[in-house]
Amino acid sequence: MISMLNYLLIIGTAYILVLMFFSWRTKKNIKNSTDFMLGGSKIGVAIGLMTFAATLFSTFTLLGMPDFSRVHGVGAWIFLAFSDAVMVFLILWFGFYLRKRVGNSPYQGMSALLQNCYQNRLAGYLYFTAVFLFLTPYIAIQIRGVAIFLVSAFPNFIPVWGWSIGIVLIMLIYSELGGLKAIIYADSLQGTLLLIVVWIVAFNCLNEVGGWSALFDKVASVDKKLLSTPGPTGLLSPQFLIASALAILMIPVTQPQLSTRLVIMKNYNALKKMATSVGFFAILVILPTIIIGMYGAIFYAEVSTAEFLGGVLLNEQHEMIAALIIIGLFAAAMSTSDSQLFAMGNEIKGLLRLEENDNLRPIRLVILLFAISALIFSLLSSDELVLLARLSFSGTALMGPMILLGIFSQKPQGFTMIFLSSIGLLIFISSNLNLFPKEIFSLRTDLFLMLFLGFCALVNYYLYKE
Amino acid sequence: MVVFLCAAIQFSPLVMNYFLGMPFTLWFGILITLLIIILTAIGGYVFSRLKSEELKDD
Repeated sequence: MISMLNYLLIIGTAYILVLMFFSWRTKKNIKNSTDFMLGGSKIGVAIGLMTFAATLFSTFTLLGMPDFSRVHGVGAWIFLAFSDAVMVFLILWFGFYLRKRVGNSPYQGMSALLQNCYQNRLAGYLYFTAVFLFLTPYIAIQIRGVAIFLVSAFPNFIPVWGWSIGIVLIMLIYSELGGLKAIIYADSLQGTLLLIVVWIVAFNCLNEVGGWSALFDKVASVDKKLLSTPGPTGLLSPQFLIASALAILMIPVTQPQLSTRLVIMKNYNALKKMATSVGFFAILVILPTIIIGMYGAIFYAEVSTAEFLGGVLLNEQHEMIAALIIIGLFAAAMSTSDSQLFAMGNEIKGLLRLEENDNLRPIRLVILLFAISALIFSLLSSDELVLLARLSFSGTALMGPMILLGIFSQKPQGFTMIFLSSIGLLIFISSNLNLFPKEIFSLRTDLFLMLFLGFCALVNYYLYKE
Repeated sequence: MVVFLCAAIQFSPLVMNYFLGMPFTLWFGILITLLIIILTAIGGYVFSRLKSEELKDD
C-alpha cells in the first residue's frame, strides 16, 4: 500500500521536473532583458486565459474560500465571483486604453508608465510603495497558508519555515532561469491542476452529503443564516461587499502582475476573448469552493480552520487524491507568488530605467530580495488568509483612481491626485494599525477613501480638460 | 450602464436580505454573474467595432 507521503514524493517530483523542463526550454530563447521580463509579448487566448487565471486565483481561493463560505455562508459568492465578473468587464475597457498608452515600446512596468503620464517621478514611486507594502504580505500569506496546511498534514516532519523556504526556492529557481515565459507555461499547468483538484473535492463532498439539493437542505437545518447575506457573523453587509467589489475591480489596474498580462497579449482581439474566458473560469473555480464550504458548515461547523481543511482536503480523500491536492496547493501558491515577485522586478527595472540590453543581474537580485522579504513576512504573519488578501486588494486599490486618471488623460494631470493618493494611503495604513477610525461618516474607511479618490480623479479630469 | 444596473440590483435591499435546489442568494448571484460575463462578451465585440480604426495598429 503506497502512503500519501510516497504519492506526494512521486507526483511532486514529476511536477517539479515539468516546471524545470519549461524553464530550460524558455531559457534558450532569452536574448535580452525584455525577453526575460515580458516573455516575448505575444500571448494567445488559451495561454493568456490560463496565465491570467492562475495568477488571479491563489491559495486564497483553494484554502481561503471554502473556509470563508463555511463561516459566512453563500454570500461568499457575491464577495468573490460577482466581483470577479465586474472585474473582467473592466478589463475590456482598461486593457484597451492601457495597451494604447504603452504603444509599441517595450512595457517598463506601471511605475514608469505613471511617471510618463504625470511627467512626475513621484507618481511612480508612490505606486511602487503601495505595491511593495501590500503585495509582500499577499505573497507571504500564500506561502504561509500552504506551509501551515502541510505541517498539519505531516506533523513532526518539516516545520513551517522549512516548507516556506522550499516553496520560495522552487519558485525562484524556475522563474529566475526561464523568465516570464517559463512562469506563463507553468501557470497553464497550475491553472489546470487547480481546477481539477477543486472539483474532485467538491464532487466527493456532494457524494458524501447526498447531492446538490440535500447539501442546502442540511445547511438550512444547521444554520439558516448561512443561506443569505450578511451571514451568521453579519460580515457580508452591503458596505463590506461593495468595498470588496471595488477593491477586486481594481486588481488588474493596480496589481502589476495582472496589468502586465493585459499588455503582453498578442492583440486586443485576444485580450477581449481572454477576459470573457476568465469570467467563466472564475465561476468554475469559485462554485466548488462554495460547495466545499457548505459541506464544512454541515460536518465541521465547530472546528478550527486547520482541522476543517485537513479533514475535507486530506483525511477524507484517497491518498493519491490527497497528494494531488497538496501539489495543487503548491501550484496555486507558486503561480500567483512568482508572477507578483516578477512584476515587482519589472517595476524596479522601469524605475531604474534599465535598457533592453542591460545586464539581468540587478533585476534577478531585486526579485531575490523581494522573495526574501516575503519569506520573512510569511514567518511572522497571521493565519486569516481571506481577510489579509482583501487588505492587500484594498491597499493597492487606493492607487486605482490615480492610475485610471493618468492612463485616460491625454496630457499630464498635475500633482493633486498624487498628493491625495499618498494621503489616502497613509490614512488606510493608520486605520489598519488602529491609529485612525475604522469609519468615516458611517462608511468603512476603505470604501470612503476609494469613493473620495474616485470623485477627486473625475473632478481633476474635467478641470484639466477645460 | 447595464453592468452598473446589475451591481445596483445585486446590492439592493430586496436582494441583500429555491431554484435548482439553491437558495435565492446563491442562484440570483450566479445569474447576475453570468449576465455580466455575457455582457462582457457582447461589450468586447461592440467596443472593438467602435474602436476599429484605433485597433488597426494593435
